[in-house]
Amino acid sequence: MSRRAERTPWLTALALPGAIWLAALVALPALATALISLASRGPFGEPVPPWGLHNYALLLTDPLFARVLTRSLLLGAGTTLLCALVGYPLAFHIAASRRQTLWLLAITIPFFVNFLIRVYAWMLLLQKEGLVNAAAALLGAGPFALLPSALAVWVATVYTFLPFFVLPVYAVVERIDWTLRDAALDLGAPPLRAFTAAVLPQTLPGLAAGAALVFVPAAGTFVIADLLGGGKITLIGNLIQLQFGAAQHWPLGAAASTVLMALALLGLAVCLRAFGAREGGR
Amino acid sequence: MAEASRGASAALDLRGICRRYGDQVVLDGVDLEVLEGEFFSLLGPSGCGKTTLLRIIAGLEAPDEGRVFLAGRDMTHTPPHLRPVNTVFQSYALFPHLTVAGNVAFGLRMRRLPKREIRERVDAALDLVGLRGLAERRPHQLSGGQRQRVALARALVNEPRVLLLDEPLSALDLALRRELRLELVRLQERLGLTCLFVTHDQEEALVLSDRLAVMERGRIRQVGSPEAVYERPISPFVARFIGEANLIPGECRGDGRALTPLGELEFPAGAAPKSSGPLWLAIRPEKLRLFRTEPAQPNRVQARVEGIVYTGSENRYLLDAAGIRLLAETLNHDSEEPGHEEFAAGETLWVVLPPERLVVLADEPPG
Repeated sequence: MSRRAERTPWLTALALPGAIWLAALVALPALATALISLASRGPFGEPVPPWGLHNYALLLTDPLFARVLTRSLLLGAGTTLLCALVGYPLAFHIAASRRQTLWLLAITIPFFVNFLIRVYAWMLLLQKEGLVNAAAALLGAGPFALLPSALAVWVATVYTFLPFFVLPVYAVVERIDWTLRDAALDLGAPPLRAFTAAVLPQTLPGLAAGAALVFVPAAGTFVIADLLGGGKITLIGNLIQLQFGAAQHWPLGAAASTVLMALALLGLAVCLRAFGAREGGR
Repeated sequence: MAEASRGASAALDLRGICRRYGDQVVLDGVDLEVLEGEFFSLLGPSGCGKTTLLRIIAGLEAPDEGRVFLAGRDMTHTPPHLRPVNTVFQSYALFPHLTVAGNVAFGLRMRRLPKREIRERVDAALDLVGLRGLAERRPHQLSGGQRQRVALARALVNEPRVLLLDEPLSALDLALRRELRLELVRLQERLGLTCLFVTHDQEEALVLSDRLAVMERGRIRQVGSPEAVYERPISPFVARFIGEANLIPGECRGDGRALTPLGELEFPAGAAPKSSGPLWLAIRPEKLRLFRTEPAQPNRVQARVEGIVYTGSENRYLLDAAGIRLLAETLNHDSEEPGHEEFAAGETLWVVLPPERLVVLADEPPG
């Protein structure tokens, strides 16, 4: 059904601004980061010769780094999972809703407020005298020590990235061919089976896009962990920030960045191969 | 009457089906009986409710009122996956992520049949529709006609009590449509299938059906064999919808005569309505006779040739007779035999509307 537009020089030219943007602001910095990761540490943390793989050797032999990396990947995976559990049904609801525009507005409106301020809002909600504990007190429970905690970091990360999951899934749910579900029912599939056989496969590209858009930044976030984890939960994002800042070790920070980037790209490739490739077959 | 005998040989029996969307009435008390082994067509313009009726039979939609009997059992509230019917959808609705064989096997897998039986029946079904070699293809690798055949095989393989076909040929080009039409008839006869075929294409319905029903605005207007409905339509709507018809308004004068803008026309005495009053006289284009010189026959009218359409086997004349437009069709066999002559645009000629060919229809309020 997706008809490819014919390739003309004009259409190729349309990609130019985007290509320049990506080259200047994504590819070049990524290359620079990879280059710096091969340098040694100067007196102020700046990259200096000699060049080599020593930063990677340092990272890979350090059990702390392995723990931080695992923790970050777990946060990324956990966030993606919860976003899927909440966002997937929500996307169906929105697509079927008569108040679609209102829903989409509600989902995008938080972006009008600065990210930091939204994280501070979570601090207000979760603190000891916060709204959550006040509500719990009304029910005769609590108070709970919600802050700082890993749970708080997780919840706020899910909150932050949920729109990135809902929107791509919503985009595919909107275009679902429901006659395929009818056909499955008609051929004797019970409702749940009809869903998994005829509807779920149609949403895989959206699921893949949503998962990639959530997993990659969620695994690399550091502000949320800083503010809601009480500085006790170190993620790879915190580690990188530390190396470029207080620890004054750019090359090590660059090496950690490169490892994260490589893992993210790998995950993306797996995602696209598993889910997205089907669309390419059309 | 005959309530007991009803359902004995009826594969499908609908009683008083009503369906509303908000305050829009889509189906307004539909009664319909399809017999075992019958090819039955539901014919109507788009929006007349025929697809909704099909979905109600399949169980994909519930009627607001009325009952659905399948093979003698009340299945009004049976969910679709438990009904002994299968549908060929207009868009084919093939599963894009499954192969041809996977698509055809779907229904059998849902019934958890043994693997070997599934394979055998899938092969047999693909043989039946002539797609044996394409079992491992994906739907997007097939042509429209091939997809249509897969959709047919996917439904047939389950041996449904009633095969529901929702305009299955409408997306194909004319030549392919004709070819598949014949194939469908052949299959239906060979397998003794009961088919309910929904279409807006009257030619399709006439060619395929044992019986057909003409639907208009949520109601069934006429049920009968193709010949009966074509030769004896019961309303101007049916006359216009099945084939083409010249409709002439008139005023009944009793004793088989009506006063029309074409003058006084005779019609078969038996067809006269009881009371005098407004009526329509309908006549098919091919039943008109055209003459260069005035014939000695009743119901002759002078007319002018406004236009000619040459369709190959036929000449279609657009005529103007006293302000009434008439369409006449003559076979194109180069004859100067009276009644089969050829005429040029602008010529004046004599049209005869043979009384025995006129169908008298009750006046029908427009809209």
